[in-house]
Amino acid sequence: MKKILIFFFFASLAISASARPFSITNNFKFWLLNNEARMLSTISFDRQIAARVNHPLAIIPIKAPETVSPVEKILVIHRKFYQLLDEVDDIYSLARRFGNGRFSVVIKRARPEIWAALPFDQYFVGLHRQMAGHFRQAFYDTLIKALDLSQQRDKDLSARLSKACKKLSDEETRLFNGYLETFSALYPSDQSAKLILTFIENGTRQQFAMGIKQLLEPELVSTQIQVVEQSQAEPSSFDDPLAELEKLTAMSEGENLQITVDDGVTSEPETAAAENSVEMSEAEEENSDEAQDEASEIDLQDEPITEEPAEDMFNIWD
Amino acid sequence: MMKVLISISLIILLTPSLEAESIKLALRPGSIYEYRLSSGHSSNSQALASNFSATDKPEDVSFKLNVIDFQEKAFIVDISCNGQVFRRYIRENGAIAGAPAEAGQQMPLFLTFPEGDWQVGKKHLVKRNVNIGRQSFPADWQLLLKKIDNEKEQAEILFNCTPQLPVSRLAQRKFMLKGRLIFDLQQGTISLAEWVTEYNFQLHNKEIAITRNLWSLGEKTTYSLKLVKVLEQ
Repeated sequence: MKKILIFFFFASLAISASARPFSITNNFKFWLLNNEARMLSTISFDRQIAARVNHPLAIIPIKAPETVSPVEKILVIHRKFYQLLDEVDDIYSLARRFGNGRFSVVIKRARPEIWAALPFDQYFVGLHRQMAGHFRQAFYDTLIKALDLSQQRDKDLSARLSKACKKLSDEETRLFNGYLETFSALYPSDQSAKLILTFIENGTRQQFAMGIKQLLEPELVSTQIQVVEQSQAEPSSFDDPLAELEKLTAMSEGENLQITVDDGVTSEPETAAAENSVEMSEAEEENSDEAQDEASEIDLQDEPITEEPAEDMFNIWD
Repeated sequence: MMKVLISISLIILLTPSLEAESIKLALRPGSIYEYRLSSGHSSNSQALASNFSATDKPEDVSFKLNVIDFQEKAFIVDISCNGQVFRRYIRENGAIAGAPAEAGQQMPLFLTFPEGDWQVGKKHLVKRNVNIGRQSFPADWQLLLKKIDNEKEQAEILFNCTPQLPVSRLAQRKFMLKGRLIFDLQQGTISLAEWVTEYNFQLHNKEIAITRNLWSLGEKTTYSLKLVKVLEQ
């Protein structure tokens, strides 16, 4: 009993560690993988039987057939699908995490370059003016690297999605869509296939999650110690953090894939403090705002996504 | 009376089923039998509405039977193929009595000829089972002596095998082998054999009342075995 509990503990840890935070493709991918496994194991089993009768005469030496099966062609196409699904997952996840622009606002408001340069200001007056820009650049470079983002790749998620979809030929796209429709028909209560389909259809047509651009291409020209005006920092078009994604995926809050949005989290501009001076009190205030924003960001990221698979979906040995 | 005799003699002459022959290997020790085995493979698969097909280049393999001896009612034969040599002990009816060079391997289920005389048109059933793991699947050989050509001293034998593949709710599959061989009655060897294997597989997905076909696979392999020459030593 103890061993079982320990096993389940580590199994749950392993599953949670390997799961993507905002995966919309897992159920569909597991279904396809599961069917592939079923097909491969069946064919392999049958080939073992066939191999015992393929050479009916004892005078013939046994030779394993070196044949190319068209099943392998299907699997090659499926590998493309898995790459596309990973890409869709990545894009969706990025859009959810950074697409509303709030994260970039939080970072911008923290002004790390100022705090890094400020201690030197006591000894070298005006040093921060020269150093702030470089610090800021270095900070953003490190941040983007740490977040595993790429300026070229991620600044336009719609273009990235289109590029990923174009890797499939027309026939492959038809097959991919056919699988999604089959999955939806078999599991009508599971919305993930519809979600993927709608996300791809809408996401390739129109730009979305433009807030990520604020993070990837920050303003680096200012070397003045200023408190950023919120009206500048705040992307006005991203008031509702996940409204864009919901619109893209044609979801409503009542649907099964429950990506709930905290209505209390808004990113309305806040009034700026003094423009030409930095006061510790204001910095403290901003820090508290930042803490609140970070907390709400964490809340947003920790939203539970209930994507429960059907009970027998992964049991291939029935 | 005369009419009766004529009709009886006609019946005897026209009824081929009364013909019978003992089909058994009679390989000559010291001789080398050179065979060529050709095979061709084609397959097609379907994923929803998409079709894929593949055809492999025909493959030719030559191999030699070096008959060493006849001991304990079995021919001791060295089969050399592509630089490899397999020793086998083959009985007169085609059954394998031993394969020391292939110890540990699961040998194929070779077909065997009936003992004694075999009447034309009569079927011969060889009961066999394929064991995989703990499961056992019947794979019986059915042989039919179709005809005997007295002029050429050849017998034509038809054979087939339809192993019963495991029944599955979601996967439908079928494997079938059928072919014919020409047995040289004078030489006591197989001079020609041709057979074809066909495998079909379909995978469904079924949830409550909804059934969808996902993938299907069809494979066909043809084999042709021909005695090229016999070298006497």
